[in-house]
Amino acid sequence: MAEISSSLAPTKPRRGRIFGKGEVVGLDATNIRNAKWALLPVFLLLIIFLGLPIINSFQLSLSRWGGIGPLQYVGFDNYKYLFADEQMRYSARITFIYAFVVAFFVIAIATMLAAAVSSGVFGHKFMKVVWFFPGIAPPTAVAIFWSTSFQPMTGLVNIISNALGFRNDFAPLASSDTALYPVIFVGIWSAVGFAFLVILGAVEQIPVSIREAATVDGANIRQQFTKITLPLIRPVMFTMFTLELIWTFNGFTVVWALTNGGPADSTSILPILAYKEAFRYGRFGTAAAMAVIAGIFLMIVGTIGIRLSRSKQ
Amino acid sequence: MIKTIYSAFSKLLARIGVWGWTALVIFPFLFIMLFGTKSTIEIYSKPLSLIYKPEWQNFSAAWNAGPDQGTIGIWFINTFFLVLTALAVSLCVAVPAAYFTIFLPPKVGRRVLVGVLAGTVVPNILLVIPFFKAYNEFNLLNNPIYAGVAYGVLAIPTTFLLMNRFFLDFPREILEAGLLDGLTNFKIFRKLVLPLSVGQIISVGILTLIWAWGDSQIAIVLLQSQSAQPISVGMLSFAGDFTTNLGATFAGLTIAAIPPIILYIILSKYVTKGIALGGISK
Repeated sequence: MAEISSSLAPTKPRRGRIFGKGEVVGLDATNIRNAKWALLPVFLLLIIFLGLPIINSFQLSLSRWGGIGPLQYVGFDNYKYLFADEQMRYSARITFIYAFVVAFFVIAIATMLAAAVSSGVFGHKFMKVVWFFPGIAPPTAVAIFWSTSFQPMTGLVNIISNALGFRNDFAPLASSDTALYPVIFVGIWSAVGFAFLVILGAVEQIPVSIREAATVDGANIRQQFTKITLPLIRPVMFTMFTLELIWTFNGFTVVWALTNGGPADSTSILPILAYKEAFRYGRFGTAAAMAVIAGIFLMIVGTIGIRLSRSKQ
Repeated sequence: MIKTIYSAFSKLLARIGVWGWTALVIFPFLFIMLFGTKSTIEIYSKPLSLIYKPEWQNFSAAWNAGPDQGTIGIWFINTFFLVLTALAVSLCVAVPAAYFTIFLPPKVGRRVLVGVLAGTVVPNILLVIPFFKAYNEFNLLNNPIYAGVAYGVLAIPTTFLLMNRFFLDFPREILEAGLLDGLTNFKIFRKLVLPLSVGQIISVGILTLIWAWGDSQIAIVLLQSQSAQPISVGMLSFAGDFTTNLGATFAGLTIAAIPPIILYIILSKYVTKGIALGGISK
């Protein structure tokens, strides 16, 4: 987004027509009309698929609806119910924890990996390709893999732990106290690849001359990283952290495939709680209210993130 | 002396770090393939052994899982149509718009970009229930192509912003040369700009592809009948069918996870570029 926001100031278009002697002053102004026609479907579709659903979500959150038939207006009852609900409070709390912990570790690991690859560690071309495997494979498939791996005795984690001489009855997914740890681990594992490529892209944009100047001035590799690379890629890291936070907060697939929100709703982050509320229990009104609460929070985070990354430029 | 030891030590640490991460990333996929070709008995008795008789039956068992024969095949076809529709919608709508927007006066162009940028922060959680309601009312549920339209529209903001950034840097001389040769504005776009933007379009398209291929949050709501599901959603029920037949489960995971990885290895140049240049996708 940092890079995108720089495009918010389009280069000054040269308008005008072809004058005599074939002199080109600029592109024909009819392109402005073309732009209007080309933008029409964009905004029409965005209004239909984003604008109207948001309005509809608010409407639903003030109603009772079982999936069919007319909405029944109930005012703020759904919100009152949710603010008093123990599970809702718990889910909101673990969603925050999950999103912040995953986003933090993803950015930290991705930055370290990008620093290593850009310094030309042996095998960096191979690593650059391989590290994105977890991001490219369907999240459902990798999450199912990890959920079988964390099974006691037969799971891969326990097989390897046993082969190394440790216990093999490690069953973190079976207990509500520990189930969030593997969920966080898989969340980090599958998201690092993408953040790594973005941050590496930023690192590689730093002009070589700056580093050379630093080397001449006697800066060692670590100093180069902390004094030059890090400050220059900070805006991208910041943007990536915001995005990662939003994606993880909103992330349904990994958690659903790994635990179904269980055991006993201990890993039901808000998107899962809302999904269950609507499509398992047929309480679409309360589910929409959950979505609105989560959605408002995320849109605030997103807007602040965009603002900050723009002002940092 | 101490300085050299320190630097050698930190180098060693970095090396252990990167190879450790490489192992953590690559081994799960090797194990998926290994277990996918092992019989369940052998997975239990000698899980780590590399000397074994391949059990190809796992794949036919996985392929024939579910209520109908060849369910995985149907999921693949559904995924294919869903992703293709998403790509067609997002590219056909966003690419021309992103191009012609560069001719707008700066003030207007800026407003357009802010409007599209706002579309990138709308979280899916706000959309799924209204989507279900609307698709249900218009009788569009359980069709991967209609679901693909929703994915395509959600990919429009990102596609638009990345393509617009690319077109802003497009050399004006080429456009002006086309104008001099008597091409209309539309032909300049089609005959000059599009052929020169193929690389960028592929890079941006791949971002949409990865997301639409893997996401299940919207598909699980819009495609509830098993015969209409893409692989990302179908796999969810699949694991439950095979709690006892571990070999077949892993064969299924192989079928789901390895083709995208192979495709990625072939196209990795575009993927890396697409992500590095934008880093913003759904």
